[in-house]
Amino acid sequence: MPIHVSGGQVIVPGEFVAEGSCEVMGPHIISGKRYYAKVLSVAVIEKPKRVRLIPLKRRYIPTEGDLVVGKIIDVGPTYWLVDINSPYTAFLQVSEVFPRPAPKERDLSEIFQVGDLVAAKVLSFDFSHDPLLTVKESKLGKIEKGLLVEVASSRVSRVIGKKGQVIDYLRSILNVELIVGRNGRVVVMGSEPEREALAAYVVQRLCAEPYVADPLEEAKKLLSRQLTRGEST
Amino acid sequence: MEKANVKLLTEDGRRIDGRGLNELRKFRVEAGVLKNADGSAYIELGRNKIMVAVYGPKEVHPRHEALPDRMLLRCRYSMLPFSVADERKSPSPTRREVEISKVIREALEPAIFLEEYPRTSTDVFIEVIEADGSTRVASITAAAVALADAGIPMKDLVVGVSIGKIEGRLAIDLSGIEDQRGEGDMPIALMPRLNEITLLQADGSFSRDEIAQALQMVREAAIKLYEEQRRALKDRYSKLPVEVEIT
Repeated sequence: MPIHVSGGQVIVPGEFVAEGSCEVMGPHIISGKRYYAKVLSVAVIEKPKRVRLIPLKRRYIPTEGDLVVGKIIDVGPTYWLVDINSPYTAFLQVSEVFPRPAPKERDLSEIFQVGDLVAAKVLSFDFSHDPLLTVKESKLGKIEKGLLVEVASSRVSRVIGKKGQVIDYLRSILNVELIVGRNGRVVVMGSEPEREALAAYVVQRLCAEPYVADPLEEAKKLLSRQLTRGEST
Repeated sequence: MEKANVKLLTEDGRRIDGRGLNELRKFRVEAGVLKNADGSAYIELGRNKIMVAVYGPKEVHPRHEALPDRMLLRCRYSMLPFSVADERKSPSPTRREVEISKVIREALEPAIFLEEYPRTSTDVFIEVIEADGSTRVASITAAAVALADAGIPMKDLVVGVSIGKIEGRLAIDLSGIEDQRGEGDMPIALMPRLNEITLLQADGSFSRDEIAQALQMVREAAIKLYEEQRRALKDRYSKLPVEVEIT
């Protein structure tokens, strides 16, 4: 047996996961031909010879091109400091907000104030420099309204689903827009508060479990349960 | 200073609390006991009660302490005023606590992939609620669980076990009185899977053979604690309840 763990099992750091010719996804250590876990995670057997380790808790580490939802924590002379729910504080420079040349002598807090939420993209990040953000793309910028849901960043991809199926589903049923930040912050925007709350509930519940096999099915189940409960009362 | 005559070992090899020489006290480890910390653990080893909270990886404050190539690990071992038997302990850190904080940090560092989060820090807060000998090794055992619980990447868990000499014989997991009245103690921390030692201190004199025997005894005891650490982490997250907040 090349894989020594069973599906759904909690794996602790240093635990023996598999050996020989098999695929181990997620954070792990290789020593010779043996695979060991690196962080506290849940094992999922995807194929007879492939096991995926899903971390239970993991801090968000910025990656170039990620969409994140940030919170402005400071306004500088030519930049804003943005908390992106990560050990690294991000910079949003004036040149990444305005088309060049950037207007001079302007109070930056008129544009983004401390406490504002922004949808931004990670422009660059390597571990020796703080991440740089940009809002120079469509649908990026200040978030004016909506409900903010904070979930584990390691589980946020299931809110998107395969090719955005879950987002599309929620949009079509509840008429809400979702901004899914890779850093574990999801903003739900809808015209009706009840629908907004319902979508927020689905997002939160989707990310409560360490592993969801089919996010779309799960979202449908969660939503239909809530909707039928609403009708009966 | 002359020691009062206390008999630590009976003729048939029983210790003051009835244990055999290579018997650990009763122990229990729990993971994820604090909601506000990123990771936490609680250990009971005999009468020792220790709580550990881990925060991180997070930004370093003050900023100039950040290391460009790796994570900064900070430990604080502290004993609560009511944790010791005799008098109320002053809450300010003593020389001993500062030293133990340092050796615990150095015992944990080899197990952590510090280079995965450069320019960040992780803080480990160890609070001894009740102390009865071997607190530094019990703290290491709990701190390793709390670090794993916080999702810090690690090579292996670290287990601490103390061994000492009473009435000329080696005895595992010294209690408070055995530590005070015995002829020596040796706290050891190791990574059981890798079989690597991360901490070895000694007070008293041990012969070469005694050290070899001590290491063997510690390894056997460490496996039991290692199993308990793993059980604690697995139990905490296996019966993953969907958290329902009742208001």
